[in-house]
Amino acid sequence: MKNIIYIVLAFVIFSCKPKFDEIETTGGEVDFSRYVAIGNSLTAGYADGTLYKSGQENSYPSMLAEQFKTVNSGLVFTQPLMADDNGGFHFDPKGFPVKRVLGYATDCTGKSSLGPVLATSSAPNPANFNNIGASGPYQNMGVPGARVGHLLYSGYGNAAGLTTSPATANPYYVRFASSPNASILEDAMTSNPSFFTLWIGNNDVLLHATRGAADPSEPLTSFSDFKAAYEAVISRLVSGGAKGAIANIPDITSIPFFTTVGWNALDIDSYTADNLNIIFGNVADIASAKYGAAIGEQYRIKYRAGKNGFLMEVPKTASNPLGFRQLKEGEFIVLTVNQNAMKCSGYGSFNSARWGFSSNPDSLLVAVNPLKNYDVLDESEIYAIRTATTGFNSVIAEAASRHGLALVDMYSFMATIKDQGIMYDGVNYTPRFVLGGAFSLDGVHLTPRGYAIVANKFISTINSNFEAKIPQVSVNNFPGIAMP
Amino acid sequence: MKQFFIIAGISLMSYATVYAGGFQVSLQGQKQIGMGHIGVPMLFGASSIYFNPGALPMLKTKFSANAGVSFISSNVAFQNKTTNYTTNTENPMGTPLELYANYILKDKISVGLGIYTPFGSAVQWEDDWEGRYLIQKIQLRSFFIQPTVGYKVLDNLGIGVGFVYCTGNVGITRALPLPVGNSEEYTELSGKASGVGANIGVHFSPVEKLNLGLTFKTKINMKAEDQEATFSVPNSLAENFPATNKFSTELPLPGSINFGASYLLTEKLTLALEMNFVQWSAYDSLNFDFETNTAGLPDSKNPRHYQNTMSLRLGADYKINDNISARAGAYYDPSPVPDNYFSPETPNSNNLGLSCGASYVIMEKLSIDASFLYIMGLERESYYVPSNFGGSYKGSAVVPGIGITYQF
Repeated sequence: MKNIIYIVLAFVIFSCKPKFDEIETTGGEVDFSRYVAIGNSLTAGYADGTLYKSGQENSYPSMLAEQFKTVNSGLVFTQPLMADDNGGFHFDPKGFPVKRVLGYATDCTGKSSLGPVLATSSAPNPANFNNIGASGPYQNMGVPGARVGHLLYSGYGNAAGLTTSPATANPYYVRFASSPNASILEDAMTSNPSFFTLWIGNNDVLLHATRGAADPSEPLTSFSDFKAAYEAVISRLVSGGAKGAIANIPDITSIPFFTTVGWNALDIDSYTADNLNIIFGNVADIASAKYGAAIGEQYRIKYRAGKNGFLMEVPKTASNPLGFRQLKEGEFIVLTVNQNAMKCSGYGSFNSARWGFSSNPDSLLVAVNPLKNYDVLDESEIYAIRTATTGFNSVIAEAASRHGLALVDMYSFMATIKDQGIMYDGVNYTPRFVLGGAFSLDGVHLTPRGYAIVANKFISTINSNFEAKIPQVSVNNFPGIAMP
Repeated sequence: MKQFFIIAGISLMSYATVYAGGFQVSLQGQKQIGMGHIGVPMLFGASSIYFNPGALPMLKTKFSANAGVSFISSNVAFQNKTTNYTTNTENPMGTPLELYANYILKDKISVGLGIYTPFGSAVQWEDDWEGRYLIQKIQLRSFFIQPTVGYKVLDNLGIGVGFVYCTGNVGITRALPLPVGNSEEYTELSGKASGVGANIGVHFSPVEKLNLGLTFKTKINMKAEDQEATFSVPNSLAENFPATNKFSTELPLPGSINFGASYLLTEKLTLALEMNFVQWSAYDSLNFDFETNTAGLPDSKNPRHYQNTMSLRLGADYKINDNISARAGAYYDPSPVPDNYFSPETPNSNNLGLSCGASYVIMEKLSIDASFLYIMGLERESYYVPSNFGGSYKGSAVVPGIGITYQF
């Protein structure tokens, strides 16, 4: 009798700890045994202005590979890791900086505040530049700076091409290309992928946009070049019967690089506003005397206490002989603009030091200090960039439907995050620079948590397209921007 | 044969359903726990101070005192259906106490005092679990001190009323939900609270063998003012989260209406049932008003939207001989927590409770009471929508308890 009581008690106490059955995972229609990721800096795990080891370890393809292992435990995913956590390259003639971290810096007004600073003052580790192609093949074929056409280009990893003018090689690929004449795509194909992800095309608009659409060596890729290259890449990737997920290109205004310094961030008191009104009243009078009032009056810029639009340079024409105008809403200033010059030298308005309180009218005009074209995206430049983005995205969508690939709609996804943020387990992520948590300290690339959000978008799209059940990652378990 | 009955009693009761919920702790008397925590119609002694003050003047012993303690080992499992993450709580053992004494003056008037702990919670998740931004651990303790008087209106009708003073303390630790940082920022809120209320009851025996009880317990608003809020953040965030701050909050302990009936079926066997209507809708939100607000630290408003519940209990008491009684019971206690506002700080499911117990008279005035309760929290899939967090939860608890009764 006693024994029965013990058995009952033992049963009750044992069943005290409730347990759930493991959730079933499946690859659905997909064989995840050989996964290869192809792309640019976003695929490589680039963050904080450079490529560094722990950033690569927190790349979205690395997270995806971990999750794919739940259905194909034998999956091998090797990344071409940098030598250390500072990143960067030390080589002639150019070099690349180490990563940025949050730290305190003193601005031109003597005020110390928290912002991105270089992680170390010493030069990047020379070992970063050793070729590690022999340890391949690598399954993360993300190469920072690559446009879609570069994926096909044999010689993009040839060290000799780094010093030509213009350079014809990319140091990030030089360091892990299997041979000097290899191409990113063919190196990817040596892994004989059963599944691939491809996120390419961002640089076909972004390299142009981040330079204020002012660098002739980084034009927008033409629609026809994009289409031809993209379709060639896709046909090669699916040639062995692989399935894949391909992501499209977000709108450039989804990233804080273009939204942090507002077009009207000239925040002044009424005393400064009054002075500027007097100055630009004089500018308008001088211009009216020279070109007539119809032309001259456009320079009578009105300032008031609070936020005001910056000035930007425009080509000098008969209708705008002084060659500047005020920015409008919907135009953007790049994050890399010299903010000290804005604060202390009237960059974007008027540089009184340059004027020197001289009575010579020309010296007043010379002191007008509009933003350079490379610091601004104006209305027509944004229109061209958006037109290109929409066109490229139609090529990507068409390729997805033609080849039965999953289309990861980053364009819409990033737009939603921009409008509403995205919340995981109580933590809300937004595209706000630094404090939003999703974007790293360069304002273009993501934090590990941001890459985790991207990985989850890939997973949910893959799951719904291929009847797979791949678990998502826990976003908050990845590192955020470290706070000192 | 006697032991056999106890076991048979358990399996029999598993077909019956019966009560608890939220952060209520239904462990206020060892005898009552043994039979599904039914006490409103019962005449078990001084513990009626909690269960039904109207029963106190009807007790057959002039003086009765009762003390007991339960040992709660509870555990809740969580599973996120999107990330497949699974974890279990690491709850510390809870030990609710009860202490009652009652004395009958001149046959008609009873006076008594009870100290008991009808509300409390001790939930501890792993520090780095997925829901850490909602809660890491919470300790909620309360002591009710209740002086009580009763009056025997008729030979078969008693009424009683108790004044309740409640004092309690709470400690909450959670990770700070920052999108940036070093993944170790957290806040701790701790403090004391108090409130007052009443416990009113009627006990009526319309015919011999049948006992009826009805009680009304008022809601008690627990108020905490200027209690300690500490924040652990890196220096660069210290301006937003001052290391020490003060907070004020209010937590309602819900009122209830309780009805019960017991019937002496044979000379030895009593069957009983009880229903509890608990006004959980009083708990609509949990707000923390911080003394110092900053851009990063506004006052915190957290919707709870609890719903009223009705629980049902069934139980039996069998007098084996003059010295030994055995009991068994079961209850069903639905959860007051709605599916979209399910916070893991109170991971409460619809509960099924199965219990048994026994009393043994050691000497003429002194007896020992023992009880054993198993609570199964039924699986539910619920979310806390404001934080976009949730998944499946299920829980269970084993609660052995022991007490003594002294009466003459």
